[in-house]
Amino acid sequence: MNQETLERLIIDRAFGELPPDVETLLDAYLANDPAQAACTREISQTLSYAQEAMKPRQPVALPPLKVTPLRTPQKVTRISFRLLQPARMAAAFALGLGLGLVVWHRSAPVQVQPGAFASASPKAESAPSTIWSADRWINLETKGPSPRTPRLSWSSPVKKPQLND
Amino acid sequence: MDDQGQWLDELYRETGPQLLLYFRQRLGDTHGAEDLLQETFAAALRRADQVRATASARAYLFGIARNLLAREFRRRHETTPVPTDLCAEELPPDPKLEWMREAIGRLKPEFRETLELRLQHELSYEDLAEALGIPIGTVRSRLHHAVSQLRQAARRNQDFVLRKADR
Repeated sequence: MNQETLERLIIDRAFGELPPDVETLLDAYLANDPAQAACTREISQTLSYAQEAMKPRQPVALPPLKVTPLRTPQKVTRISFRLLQPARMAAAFALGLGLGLVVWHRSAPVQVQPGAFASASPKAESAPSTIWSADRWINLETKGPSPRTPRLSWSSPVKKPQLND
Repeated sequence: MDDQGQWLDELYRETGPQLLLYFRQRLGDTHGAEDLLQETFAAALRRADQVRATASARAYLFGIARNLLAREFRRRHETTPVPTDLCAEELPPDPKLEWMREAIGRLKPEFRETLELRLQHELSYEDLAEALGIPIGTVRSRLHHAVSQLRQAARRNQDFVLRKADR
């Protein structure tokens, strides 16, 4: 064993990192070699000096730990899909019904009374209406000929029916 | 207190004093050291699964502490590398030990850091490898170099004392 390898083993032993079986062998080897035993003493003394030199002036006072783990959140209870299914269907039906009613109301024909707009807005007739103005359409409806139902007079089945106003 | 809280509390009581000393000796600032200590445990809590799974939680925490310290020094000085020097104010004045402190101060930073973590914080070779992020062989090699250089310094010191005594 060369000197360098031996010193490495001695240092490892001084640090307490040598396996017990190797340590026993090393001790046996050093017992027969006083020069190496002196080397061992020197190394251990150097280390104890170094340890002493690094010792802190005063012991440290540990402050309280400010870090705390967050609480694990409560498990969210979920309603099963089977229970939700009828509710979903009912909601969809109600929505469809509502939408249907709205559409039906909007699409129903509006009964406009003749002259209703004319009496409500006297300006409508006097003001000149442009092509995009709403008045134009209102006037169109109110100014048009009054709805008169044609009547047929059919005096005899052998005669032509005649149209009366 | 739940399991996680208890685990963290035990870890803090076990490792906290060593880590606080580590920070204080390098920063020379009690408040800064305490802040970094809290940050270390906050980081440990964030990586609780990894810390629990590792062979040595202490080594893992020292690894975190070392990174936080490096970040702190970068923030303070921008160009300072990973701090390895011990703050002189934290060490008691002792003329008999000055030569050894000087010798430790002359060591290469990586040798000094490894030696300090071993002697002061009693990290094993395996823990040192984990904390410093290097192979065990490199840990062993660094320690051997450090001890060899300190032995030489010790011999020189004894010579100096002998020569002084001869006059």
